[in-house]
Amino acid sequence: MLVLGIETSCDDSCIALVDGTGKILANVVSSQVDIHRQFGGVVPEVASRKHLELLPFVLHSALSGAQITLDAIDLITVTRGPGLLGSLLMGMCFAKTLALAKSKPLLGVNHLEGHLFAIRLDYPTLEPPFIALIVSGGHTELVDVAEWGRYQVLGGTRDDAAGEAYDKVAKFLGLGYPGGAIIDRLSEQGNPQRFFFVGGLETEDTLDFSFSGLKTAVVRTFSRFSKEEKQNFQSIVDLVASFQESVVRILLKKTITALKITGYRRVVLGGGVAANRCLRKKMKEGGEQRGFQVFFPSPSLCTDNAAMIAICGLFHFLQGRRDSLHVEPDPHFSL
Amino acid sequence: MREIVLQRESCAEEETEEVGEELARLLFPKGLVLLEGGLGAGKTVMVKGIAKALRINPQEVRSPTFNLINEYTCGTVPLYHMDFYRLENWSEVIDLQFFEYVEREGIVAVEWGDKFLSLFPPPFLFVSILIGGEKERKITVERWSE
Repeated sequence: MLVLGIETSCDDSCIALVDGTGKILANVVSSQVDIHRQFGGVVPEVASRKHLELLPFVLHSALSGAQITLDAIDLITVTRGPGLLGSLLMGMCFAKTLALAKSKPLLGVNHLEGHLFAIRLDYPTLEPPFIALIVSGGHTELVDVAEWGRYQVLGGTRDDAAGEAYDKVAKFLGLGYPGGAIIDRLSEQGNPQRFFFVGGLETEDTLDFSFSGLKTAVVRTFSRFSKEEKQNFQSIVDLVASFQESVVRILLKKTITALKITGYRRVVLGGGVAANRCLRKKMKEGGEQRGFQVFFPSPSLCTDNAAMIAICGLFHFLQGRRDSLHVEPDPHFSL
Repeated sequence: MREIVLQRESCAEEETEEVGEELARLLFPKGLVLLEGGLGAGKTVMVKGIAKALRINPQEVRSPTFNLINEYTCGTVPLYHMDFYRLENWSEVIDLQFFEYVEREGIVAVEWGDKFLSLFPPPFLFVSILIGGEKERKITVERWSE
């Protein structure tokens, strides 16, 4: 059994090949290959049209890397949503074309469910129930996974996603992109106790998140710095370390509350922020202290990828689900 | 032509949200609003106010920075909430099918809309949120017409 996964819900065009046991044969993400050189032209940074231009190259790269032809594929899976409509349309159109031309079954997958399934690529036997925390640039979701296919969203962000707050703080401080990885690295040299930031909703009785106020507090603290302090490396790294400390503390706190409510003893992380080293460390420590197990996908499977779409689609295919060629993207597709 | 149609001082997020509700009345049932204001000024909060006036749950209004467009279609008229923070050139705005959204029934609210200000054809409302103190904001709404 060979499954092709296609994911275009946001910026990256991703294609992967996964076999029936969940083994990854190829996992290509457009931002990580030198498409500019292959393409020989200017590709827009964001927005949907670029998927159309990149997908054939990404597909070629995946197939040739795994030395597999399109004819050998048994199932085509594609992200239906949530995401940007124009981007989703490109991926789905590409998937439908392949399915039609090669007479292969087609299955639309929920992007967030894909993030839940990413853990199965590293831990094939892991089964629910567990609490999942999906944290990325676009999502911050706390999910009760009672069994595969049965989910309840316990909490989400009411303004900025966690990863978005990271990127905006990094850009504001002139630290560059991607903000999450840069702040994570710099924070190791900083004093996380120097500043104390309270997150919105942190002390309130809700599993929802709010990171906008935290971002604003960092901006405010920086603008109060003296001219010398603004140039001082140590002050900046203390500031970002304190910011990161707060984000991680809030994520951990709400996760622990979700465990208490459900009685579960396992946590699964997903999404780009799940690659954050500080979050991984503090989650692990929290688990050791409180007696819960924590599972993270490997970093390349935390960020958006198509292998997670393929393995999620494979599960539903084996349950007997099929989609017709009329399946449409759903920008609001909920879990 | 530009004229100031609204000027408000806000001392709290709730007040900024209320200005958003007023803004919705100026826009209803169809119109474009571009929002300018630094990080943490309250652009998303303002859009929550617009949502509230359109009977869309403001808690569901989240920052569209990554997604670029959030669509809320369950209110009295649709609200298309966009964010150009990550966009670098005008062709990306066109690629987002921006003008097709503007043609539709409903309200289009764009955060970081000042990025390409000179390229947007009027009419639209232009909101600038100036950060005073920790909570203080000075909000000015201009109507730009041909």
